[in-house]
Amino acid sequence: MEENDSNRKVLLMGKNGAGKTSMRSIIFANFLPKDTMRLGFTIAINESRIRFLGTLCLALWDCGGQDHFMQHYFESQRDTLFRSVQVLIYVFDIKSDDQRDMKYYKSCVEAIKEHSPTARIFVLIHKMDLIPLEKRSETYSKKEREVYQNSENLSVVCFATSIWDETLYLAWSKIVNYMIPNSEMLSQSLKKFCVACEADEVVLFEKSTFLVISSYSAKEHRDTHRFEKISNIIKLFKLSCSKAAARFKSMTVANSNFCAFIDEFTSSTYIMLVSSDSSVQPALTQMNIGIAKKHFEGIVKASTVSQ
Amino acid sequence: MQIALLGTKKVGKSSILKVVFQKMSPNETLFIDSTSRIEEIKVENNPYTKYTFVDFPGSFEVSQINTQDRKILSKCAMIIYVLDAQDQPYNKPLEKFINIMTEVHSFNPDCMFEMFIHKIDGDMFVTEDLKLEAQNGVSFLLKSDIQERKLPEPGYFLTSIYDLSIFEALSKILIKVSPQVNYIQNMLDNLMNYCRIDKVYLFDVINKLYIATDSTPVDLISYELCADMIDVVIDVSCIYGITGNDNMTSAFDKKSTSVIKLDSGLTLYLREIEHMLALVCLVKEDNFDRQNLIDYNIDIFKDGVKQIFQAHEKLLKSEENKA
Repeated sequence: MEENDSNRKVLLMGKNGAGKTSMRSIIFANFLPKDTMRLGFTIAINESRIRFLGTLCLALWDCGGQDHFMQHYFESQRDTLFRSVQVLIYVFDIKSDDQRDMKYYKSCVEAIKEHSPTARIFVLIHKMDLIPLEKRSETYSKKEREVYQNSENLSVVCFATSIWDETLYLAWSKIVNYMIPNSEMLSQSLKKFCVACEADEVVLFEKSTFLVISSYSAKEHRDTHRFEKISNIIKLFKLSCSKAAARFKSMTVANSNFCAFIDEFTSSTYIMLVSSDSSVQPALTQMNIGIAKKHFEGIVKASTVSQ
Repeated sequence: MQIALLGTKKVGKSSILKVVFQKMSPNETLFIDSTSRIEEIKVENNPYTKYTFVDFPGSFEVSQINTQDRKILSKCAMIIYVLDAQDQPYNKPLEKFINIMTEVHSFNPDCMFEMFIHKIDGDMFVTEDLKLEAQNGVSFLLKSDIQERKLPEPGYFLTSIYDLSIFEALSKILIKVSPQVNYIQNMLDNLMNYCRIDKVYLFDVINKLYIATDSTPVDLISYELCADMIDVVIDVSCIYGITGNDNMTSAFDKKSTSVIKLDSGLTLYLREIEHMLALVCLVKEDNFDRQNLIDYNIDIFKDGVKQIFQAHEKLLKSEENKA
């Protein structure tokens, strides 16, 4: 198990049954949410190498959360596990009131502080769909406060997630984006492209996961969760196409108010361009996308290289 | 147009209606209560098709039929009998079916009968052979009684709420009770030939049943792909295509259209035909090079459909006035 700079080490931890393996199967292994019901518990540590944006390599360490494994992590495997970590993702099952959960979390944070002090910690407060709608905000805030209290003053980012909606895509998009060394370069280029095409907004998605890499919006929109909703919608459609033994290449959706193009872009990305200006010719937009592809191939590659 | 659902208790009549017409997820149907009285579900999503499904409680016994039940059943164009395929042996429910057919046929001779061999999923029916075996078994058991009592031959459908088979079955039976759809089918066949389209469906966008299709066989995979395409179009349109607090019905408007290209060379093309009605075509990418021509032909088709349904309305009204 190499741990050099180009392999970004991501620890995925949490008590057994929290949903770690389900999440990663949906995001990275094309599982449908209902398929995850047949997953068994993870035995010890499952390490997967994930190619992201062509050149970025993530080493995802899915750590089985059963008690006897957890004990090992903090004792005999402590330094191998918590050394050279770039990101720690801790998953809480919101329905579980097992006190040991928070204790395990605290131990993780302490180990990270000791062995990988520069690592970023993301906490996913998961299975939010099991909480009735009217209680969700309150339950989430309470858990979030508890997490901050146990985080040893390290900065931690929390997300409310569920495999049954787009919240999963928001959390993982943000996590993965953190690991792209030069995403600023991408958003600047997207801005130029958006303005040149006179579009409302332009979004860049990673090809196989459909996580949002970057975006630029020229116009404000009332739905702040629209990008992850699109990730979810397209991902589900992609899976549906695979049942028909085909892969989706491109898509146009329009009504009298808008026109959206979703197309293959660089070798590792898809682009979505949305326009509400009916004077913009669709054929012209498609031509622009075609011309921009080569240019962006280089930019995407450059954004994955550390400065 | 009235269609009744009958069957023994817990076969899944109400679940079918809730999953198809009220967007309930199949898993949630495990928790619904038994139907205690007759319930009606009206389906009027577009200006062309209007149906009422009458959900009878499982406790209904034809031997204890009262005047109200008789009135409802005499107005039905079709009766769907739902049989639980996992609840063997089938003798008792089939006996009930024969009795219902006999009774209803006596006062409503034009009524059609369809049998849904339902819950045809799970471990008991893993292969196609096992499913067909169930269907053959049922039709064999019914044969002698149907012949003896000179009853109309029922149609058979293998259905489950866990996949699109129930949607396909309901689409087909609704086509059966709508004679005007034959004309639309002819128009769709013409459209297919002129535009070199492989398959075309006229979809009800809300419940994803198809109102009409061309005369080539329906395969579940192409049907499912088209239904999923509608989901994508509606979902994306709800995000970007509505202003202010409008809802889904305004997301799908007169200019709604979508093109999806697959790497297998297949292109899916969707166009709005009427309020909540969409035409979905499956075309080979090479044949999609003259989109303008296809659009022109679809516009003609649109007008044709309107005329057919308007003529049908007129016919119904004049029949009502006579009666």
